[in-house]
Amino acid sequence: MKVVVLVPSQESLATAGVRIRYLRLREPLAEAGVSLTVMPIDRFDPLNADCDIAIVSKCYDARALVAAAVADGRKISVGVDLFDDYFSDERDSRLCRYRTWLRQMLRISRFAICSTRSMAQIIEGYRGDLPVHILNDPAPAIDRSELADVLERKISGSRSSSVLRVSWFGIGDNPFFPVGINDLAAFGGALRALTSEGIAIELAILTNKRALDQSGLAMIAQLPLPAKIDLWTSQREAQLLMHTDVCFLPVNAQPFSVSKSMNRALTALSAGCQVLSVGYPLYESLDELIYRDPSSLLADWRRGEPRLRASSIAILEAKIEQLASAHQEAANLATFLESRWKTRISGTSSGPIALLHGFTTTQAAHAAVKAGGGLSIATPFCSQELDFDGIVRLPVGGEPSLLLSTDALRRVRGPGRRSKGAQRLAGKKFRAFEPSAVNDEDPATVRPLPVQIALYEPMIERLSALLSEQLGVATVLLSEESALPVEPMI
Amino acid sequence: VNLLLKALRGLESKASEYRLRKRRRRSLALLAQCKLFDRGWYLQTYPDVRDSNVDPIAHYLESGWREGRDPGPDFSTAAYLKGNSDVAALGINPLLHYIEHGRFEGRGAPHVGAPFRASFSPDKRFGPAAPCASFTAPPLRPVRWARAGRIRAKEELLASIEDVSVAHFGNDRDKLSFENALEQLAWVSGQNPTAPEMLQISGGIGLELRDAWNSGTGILRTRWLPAERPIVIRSIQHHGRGAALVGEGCIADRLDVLDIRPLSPLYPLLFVFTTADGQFLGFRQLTFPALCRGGLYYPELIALARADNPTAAVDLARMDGQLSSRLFSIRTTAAPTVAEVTVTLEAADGSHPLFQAEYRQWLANIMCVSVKAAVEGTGPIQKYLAAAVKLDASTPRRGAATLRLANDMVPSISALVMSSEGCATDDLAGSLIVASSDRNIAIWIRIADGTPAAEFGGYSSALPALLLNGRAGGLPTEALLLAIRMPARRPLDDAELLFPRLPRVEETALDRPSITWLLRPDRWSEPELMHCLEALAEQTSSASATIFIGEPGEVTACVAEQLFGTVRVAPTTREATKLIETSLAGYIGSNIILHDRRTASLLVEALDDDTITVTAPVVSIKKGAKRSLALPDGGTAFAHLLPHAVVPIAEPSRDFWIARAEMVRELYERPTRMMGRHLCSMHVSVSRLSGTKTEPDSKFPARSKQCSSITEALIG
Repeated sequence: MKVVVLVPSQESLATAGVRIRYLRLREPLAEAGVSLTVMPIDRFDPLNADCDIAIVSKCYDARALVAAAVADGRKISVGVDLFDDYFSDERDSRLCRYRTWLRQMLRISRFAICSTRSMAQIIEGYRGDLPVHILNDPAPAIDRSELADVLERKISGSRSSSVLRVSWFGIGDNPFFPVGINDLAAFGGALRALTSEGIAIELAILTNKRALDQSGLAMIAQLPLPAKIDLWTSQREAQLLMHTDVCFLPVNAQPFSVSKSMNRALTALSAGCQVLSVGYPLYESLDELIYRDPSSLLADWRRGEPRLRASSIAILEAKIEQLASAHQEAANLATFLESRWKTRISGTSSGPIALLHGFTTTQAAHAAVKAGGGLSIATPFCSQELDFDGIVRLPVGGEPSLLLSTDALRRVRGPGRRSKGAQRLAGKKFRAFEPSAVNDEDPATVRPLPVQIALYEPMIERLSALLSEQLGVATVLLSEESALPVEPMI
Repeated sequence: VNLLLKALRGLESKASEYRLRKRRRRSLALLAQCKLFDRGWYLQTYPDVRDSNVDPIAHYLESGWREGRDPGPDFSTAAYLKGNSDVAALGINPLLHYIEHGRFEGRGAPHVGAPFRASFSPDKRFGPAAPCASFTAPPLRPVRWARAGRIRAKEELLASIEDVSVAHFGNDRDKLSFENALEQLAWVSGQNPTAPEMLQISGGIGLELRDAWNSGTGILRTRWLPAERPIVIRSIQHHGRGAALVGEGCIADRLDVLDIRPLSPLYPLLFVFTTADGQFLGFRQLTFPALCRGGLYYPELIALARADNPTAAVDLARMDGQLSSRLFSIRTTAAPTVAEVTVTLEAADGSHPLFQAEYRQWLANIMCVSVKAAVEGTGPIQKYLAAAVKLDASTPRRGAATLRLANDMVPSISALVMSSEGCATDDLAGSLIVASSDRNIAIWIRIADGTPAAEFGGYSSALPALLLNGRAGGLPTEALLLAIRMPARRPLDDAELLFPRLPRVEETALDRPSITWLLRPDRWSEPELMHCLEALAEQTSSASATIFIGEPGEVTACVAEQLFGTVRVAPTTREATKLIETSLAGYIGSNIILHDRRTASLLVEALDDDTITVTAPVVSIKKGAKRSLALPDGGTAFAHLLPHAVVPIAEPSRDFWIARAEMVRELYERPTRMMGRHLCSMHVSVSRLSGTKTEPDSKFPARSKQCSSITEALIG
């Protein structure tokens, strides 16, 4: 079975996420007879792709929707892998674009993969009948004797020097949510509780450069003790963890954070670090090995018996086996994908795909739908000039009109397929549907933006219904890259 | 020529030697005057230097620092070089660098044994700032003072904290005074159940606390008005494990500061004043160190001090003293107003102080107040948050009211120490302060007449409120400062201004009230009026009619008829009100667009019997290469101060409101302010077309340019 994971770009291939989530599984999947390829979506040709299963990962744009719809028509089983929650908080108007994308993606998908139970519940909220598989982030294998040595060295070293080396590591910011450095600052009082016990604390912070802006540095300055800061790289992370006694991992309770995997805690434990996690109990399945409050940590440390010690490595191994074993995760995934592949079916309707272009769209999405034989249709809100197959006009106070090029007209069918007379726009011959005089001089984009926002959702919903009910379009998709808070239900 | 060149080279060499000698003399003088160089300590610490009969200053200057030796106990050569890699790279004497440059650049002088702190330069190195002037600092008055633990006296005359001597007494009265102060500190810190007979904030001789600020990395820096003689101050905190010494220093000069590293930034501090050799002089208690600059409660200090006397300097000690007296009162004799705190968990993420152990410990032990979630949650996050916020005080309070807060607030100290002396009989909305992220700027939203905040659709108000616990009386009637709202951790996005955070409301879930829209064509351009009608037609409410006040254009009338069916024209507003046949009416002044389909339905939800009009904040979309939103007038409050709230406003919005039809008629029959209230719902917004605004909305005053620290009386 050939599986392709589609990621947003060439650069994505080098990210820690791809390395941890997919590349660690490649070998064990191969042993189970599954070949796994990770490729940028730009290089994926759904009409000619040699694969059985395609998994869309982090490609939150219309290219993925089109690729999925086209591939589905070729009996390639398409699924989506979700591990960041940009979808559950329906009150958040900044994320309308993501919710609209997911609603469409799940409509096309034959299955979904996700990182945690919370993410699975989110998917169920969108589409309850979709098979969902929870794929835990695999953790690297640990060497028992080496880890025992590391623990012995760290515990005896820190006790003899009375210096506790505490680290915080990870992505320090997010474009939408206050996480990372914000959490460190908000929960930093717990670090004061460590210093209160008369122990010298050396705090180190390893994070990305973008998080270290003026506000990030100000928050770090408000921590109760000085910190040494460095920029994150995977090598530096490994180096830091090698010299860290305690990893401080605060977690807030916003949906984005509580849907995260246990990757950070497992990484820290595997490197021989004690974990102090305050806030939301994200790592509660590791409770035997981690600390929820500083006083327990200090008490155990004074006794020389912290929760992660040579005698508890077996527990860690069992936890990794249960929650993050690459072999186990690969075997489970292979079984799941095989079942999806065996029960695969292609799209039921034989009509074309139509991609509606909203406020902001991309040439790539337009090219993808054209290449897939679909219709590329500009809504009244689209100001970009592309070689569209269809254009919608909305005169002020009048009825909307859909104009299809004569070429596109040949590809649609249904009761609505009747010509209203040809006219030439942008050098192309179009025919109008819906009764209205078409005036090329009054596209909707001449309207003020608030008016466009008010009209957007009903217009897209009506257009979608028209295309599928009147013109036999199999799948109507929307390309919307704008950050405007519009969320049509299509 | 050769001879001349040789002579020149000789001269140059001599000039260079002269410069070096001059520089050396100057360096020796600087080190000799510097109190960080302790000649005695140096000789005692390094016996090889003592035995070699070398001048210690010259030794340190020439070779000592290169060998990693320290010039005195208060300066670590190694830590300074490790913490300042740019200095280390230059290969210059670290103490000289500190004297000449470092201290003016904000670099610390690490004492011996201090862990080093690396200067931050992830990808860019900044050179040292060039001094604009170079001069020898005047010699400071050398002060010899005994550190804690080195104070010597007979055991019965010694005061000790954690087995470390902190003072000695000249008489029994002083000793008793100190012991009482220490017991009072334990009591106020919740560590000693026996209350003192009376509160004594200070006693004996002491210095005046002028300022205190959180200088980062857990340090509280204090500045004092010096006396004629040097005074040593030691700071004690009682936190869990008994009293602990958390800072000491000598104040001999106006520039001297005392650094304290509190075990808790909230727990009371006791300052003990002694002579340089440790003889007890007096004490002073700072009950609320969080009132200091950068502290959690600093905005409250500013607000209270300015309310007292807007022009006077903020007096930390005096305000702390007043609040301390009230705390003493409610913990001993008087009944407090606030019985417990309830917290609404809407949009909570559990990162605010009410969820943090350090703050909760203070609430439980010092304020003795219980906290619980306003509504028990059902989902795992809500359950976690409800459990995380729940706090049981060891002794329940006897108060009359529940203080309701949003989860991003903390109760004000004033509210928590307020005694029950008033006679209000109804629930009461209070004022709040919205703090900036660094807590040094605060906006005070003062609810002058205590008008209750409107409840709306099950969502909590963003205003704190006192809710009577089924009992009459017990609430003061004056305006109350009830809470500080912690900073939003980011500014609102444009998308959030257009569509405020609100659960998506399905059309079927909303009532579809019939509304008659009143419009004035003379205040619109015809195309824009038609745009307004287009947007109105998409409202989930059903518009049964449109009434134009004045004649619309022919095309507009045609469009309106097509969109709404019924169109009527009235010559005047008064006449128009008589034509309204539906139970609800909406007025849309010039250039307002309802960009959200839910607007009318949501605003109608907020209309109740006591409400005349309800409106929404206005956002303006600026045109240009990059689209952006502006928030004139009330938008400021909407975006930054009171999101997700319905608040009373002084008068109807000039350009947009919805009201019940009979109220509309009343409004025009009696143009003066009617009995009843006007509301602004921050749950939804409307747009104003750009470039057409002629005068500000009247509902909110603009923020004062002169004073960004406090803007009072948003609501008249």
